[in-house]
Amino acid sequence: MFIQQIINGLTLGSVYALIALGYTMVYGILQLINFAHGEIYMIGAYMAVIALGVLTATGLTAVNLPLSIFLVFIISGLFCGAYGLTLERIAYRPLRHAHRLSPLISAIGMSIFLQNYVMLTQDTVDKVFPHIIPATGLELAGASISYLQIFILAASFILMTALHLFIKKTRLGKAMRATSQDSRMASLVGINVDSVIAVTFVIGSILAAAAGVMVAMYYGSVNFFIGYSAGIKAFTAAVLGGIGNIPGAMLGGLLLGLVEGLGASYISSEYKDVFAFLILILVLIFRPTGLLGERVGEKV
Amino acid sequence: MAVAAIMPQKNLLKYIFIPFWFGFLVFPFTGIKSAIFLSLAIISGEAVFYGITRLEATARVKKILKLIFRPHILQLFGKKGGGGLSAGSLKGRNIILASIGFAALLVILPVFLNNYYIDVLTLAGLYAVLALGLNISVGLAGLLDLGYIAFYAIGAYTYALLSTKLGVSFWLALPIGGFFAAGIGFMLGIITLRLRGDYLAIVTLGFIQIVHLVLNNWDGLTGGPNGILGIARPSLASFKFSQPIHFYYLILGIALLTAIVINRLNNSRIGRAWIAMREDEIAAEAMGIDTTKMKCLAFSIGAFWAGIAGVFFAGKFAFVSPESFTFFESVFVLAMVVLGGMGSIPGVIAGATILIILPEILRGFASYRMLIFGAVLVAMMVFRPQGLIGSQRRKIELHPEDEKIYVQEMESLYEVEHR
Amino acid sequence: MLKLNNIYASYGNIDVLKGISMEIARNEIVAIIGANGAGKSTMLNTISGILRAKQGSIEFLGKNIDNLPPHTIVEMGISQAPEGRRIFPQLTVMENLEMGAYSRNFKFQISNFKSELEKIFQYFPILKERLKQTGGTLSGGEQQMLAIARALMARPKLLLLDEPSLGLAPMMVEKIFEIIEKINKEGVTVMLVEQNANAALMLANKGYVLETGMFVMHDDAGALLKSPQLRAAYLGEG
Repeated sequence: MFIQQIINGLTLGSVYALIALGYTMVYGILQLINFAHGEIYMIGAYMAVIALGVLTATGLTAVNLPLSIFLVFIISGLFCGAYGLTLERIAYRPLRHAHRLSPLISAIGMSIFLQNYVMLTQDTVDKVFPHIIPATGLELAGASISYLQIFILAASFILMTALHLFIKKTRLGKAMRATSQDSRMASLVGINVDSVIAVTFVIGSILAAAAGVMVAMYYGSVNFFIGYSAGIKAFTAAVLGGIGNIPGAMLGGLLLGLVEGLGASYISSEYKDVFAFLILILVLIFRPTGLLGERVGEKV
Repeated sequence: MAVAAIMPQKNLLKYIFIPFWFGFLVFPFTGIKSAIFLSLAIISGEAVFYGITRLEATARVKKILKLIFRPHILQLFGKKGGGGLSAGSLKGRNIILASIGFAALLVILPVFLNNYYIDVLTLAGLYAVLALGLNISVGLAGLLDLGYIAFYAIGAYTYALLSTKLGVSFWLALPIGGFFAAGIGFMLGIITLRLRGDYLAIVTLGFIQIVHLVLNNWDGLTGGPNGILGIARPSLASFKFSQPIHFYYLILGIALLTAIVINRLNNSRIGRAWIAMREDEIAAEAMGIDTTKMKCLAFSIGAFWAGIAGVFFAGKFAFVSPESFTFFESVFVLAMVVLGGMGSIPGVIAGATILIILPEILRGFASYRMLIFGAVLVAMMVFRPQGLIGSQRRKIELHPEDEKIYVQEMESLYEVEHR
Repeated sequence: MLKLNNIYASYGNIDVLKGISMEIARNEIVAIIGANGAGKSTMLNTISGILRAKQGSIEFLGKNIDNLPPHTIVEMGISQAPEGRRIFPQLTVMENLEMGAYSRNFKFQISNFKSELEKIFQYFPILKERLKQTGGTLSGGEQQMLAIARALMARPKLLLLDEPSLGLAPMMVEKIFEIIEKINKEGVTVMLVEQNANAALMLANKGYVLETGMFVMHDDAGALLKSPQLRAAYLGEG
């Protein structure tokens, strides 16, 4: 039972971590909570359903399952990247120098807009994502871990490692770090800060898309309001790890998944969603910099 | 004009690109046909826009638009009075006169309307109270409270429980609901004291979520998703509030009281302290303002009015359920404040009225309501952050005329950070 | 090489630069002298494109640059070591240098980049020992060296230095100024903004004196050094 909950918690946690990365990267550069990020994840999940529907119609799914799963990820990532880019351009860039409440309110507006846009075009009923990965799995110390869970854990690990390497090693990744540390100096060494910000949004959105696809597979259905609670939980994960801190977001996501899994089974499943908020409030009060945060959360 | 001649070529690619881009974005969701339709719509929109920018008459149209969208419409009255000291007092008197006239109009209005419209107006009044309360934290104190509706819920459930379990009257419940909500608001203020603006937003969002969950799951007390039925309607001696018009006058009274109290607060020492805090918390603290106290006060006074509105809601509909108190309701009220103008009392009232009445007029677009509100929030922030009837002070703050102020701020910020 | 024509710049409603005109020729060192708040840094930020001039034009190598974004201006060959150094504190020294070369679209090809670095290390041998350290852990003098080195990595034609001597020990100041001279000899034009008038004018060919947003004096550096007015105001004599 306990080990089972840990496995389930880690699976969910790795999804939270992927979404949390988007929050933390944007916050690192703009000191802005991208409220609409959860909706990007939701759009990613819908794109998975839509793309799989098209691929199944063409018959590819029956012929080559791994390739079609791969394509679903690519298509969803592509669209979410485009949505993220557009979001930044419309709702955030014009407000770069405005009062701090302005981008926050426009972010909330965007979030509401996207949610209703999907609701109106895709209807309010759950969209079913067919179980293409068999539900079987391995037995492990009395607990079972399904192939799908293994896949989610592995895929998240690969994506996070890739992101880590990108940020640490590539020219653009270093430019992103430089911009988040001192954006004015970044423009003085010749970094186009606007493009770096756009790239940050695109990368965050692609990771959210991956999370969306995996959740669609895991739960087998998607709905237009999933972005809201997942968004808050992922944000909590980001704060828990130390907002603006990339390894922190990964750690925070996994921890939150674990707490939620264990809390739901040992304390109360009805109030499962409360745990995230309680953690958020406790962290903000007692350690606003998060577990791995170095920078002061509260800027003067 | 030389600039205008160059711009089109430079923007031509953009003009062509935008429709395709949005068509691409939406086609998986809307289907290809609608996507093409959207692209065509954008193209025609662009053509109109292009035409306008090229038109000789543009300058004139712009002038008229500027007149219409004057930030402070009321100011027009004042300006006619000419310069000097008398203009100021004249302006003040005009505002008072206009307010009295407006109030009188509201008193007479329902006589000419049928019950349906009276109900709509009553709703507008209810939301005006809510929006005025939220305006205290968001507009005056600059604290983005997304969980505001939780206080509304607390007020409504307070009366629902007091009425059904203890038989407490509406009039007694009104202050109890208000003060109870204010107490909770005070506690929330204490918890969130140390949080910066955006953290605060998300914690208050968590707060509404928790309240919603509790209302839904604590079946023994709240009746769970079914809510509480059979709440007593208000009555005075033998007179029972039953007709829509009764509730209309009741909410009109509450709304007027709210507006007057908040207006007094706005111009008091507390109001100035809030504004100072909104503009620069650290400077405010350095000036001797107890920001802790001020934050808690902003939260609890805002919550008080939400509690009152909640009691009214329960009294009018005789029924409460968790459905009425969601995060989206919070956003709805926030949209009213933002649309009307943060910090401006006439603005907020106008915002509430518009957002209640508009959906009634546009019945056919009912399902697009939230979609439009979302778009309104974004568009207002980008194009007119001070709202339709913004307060002057707020305008300057939200829309620095150019980015130079920002650069300067960044500069001082940098120095502080690196000391 | 660089020409400022009647530049006005302001923060909000406060005019900081009130009609500045100046010119720098290739391979010169020009010193801009002025007290705190005279508008020296504002002037550099206007040249770098961080601040837009309200009025007036800036010409660099015959092209107007006053409407270009900062990153394009760096690409054209103007780089800046700003006031306060502004090292990226959590990037390593190596990464800071790489960022300096960002505008040249360096693919960080090992051989090219290395030879470039070697040249920098001839000026600043200490940086070689610090390569793996993060920028925030360096001492003030080392940070100043890194700031100049980072600006040089952009291979500028014109180097803008904002108060390179600020907060440094006299020994270190001397060293930095020696290096600036060396850099200039290698063919880099230098605009040096300084409060330390004596040291700056000793090094420079020309000097401009900025007071409350206007140039009140400009002359050959030698002549300025002898000017009693300047000596009284900036060197504490008389």
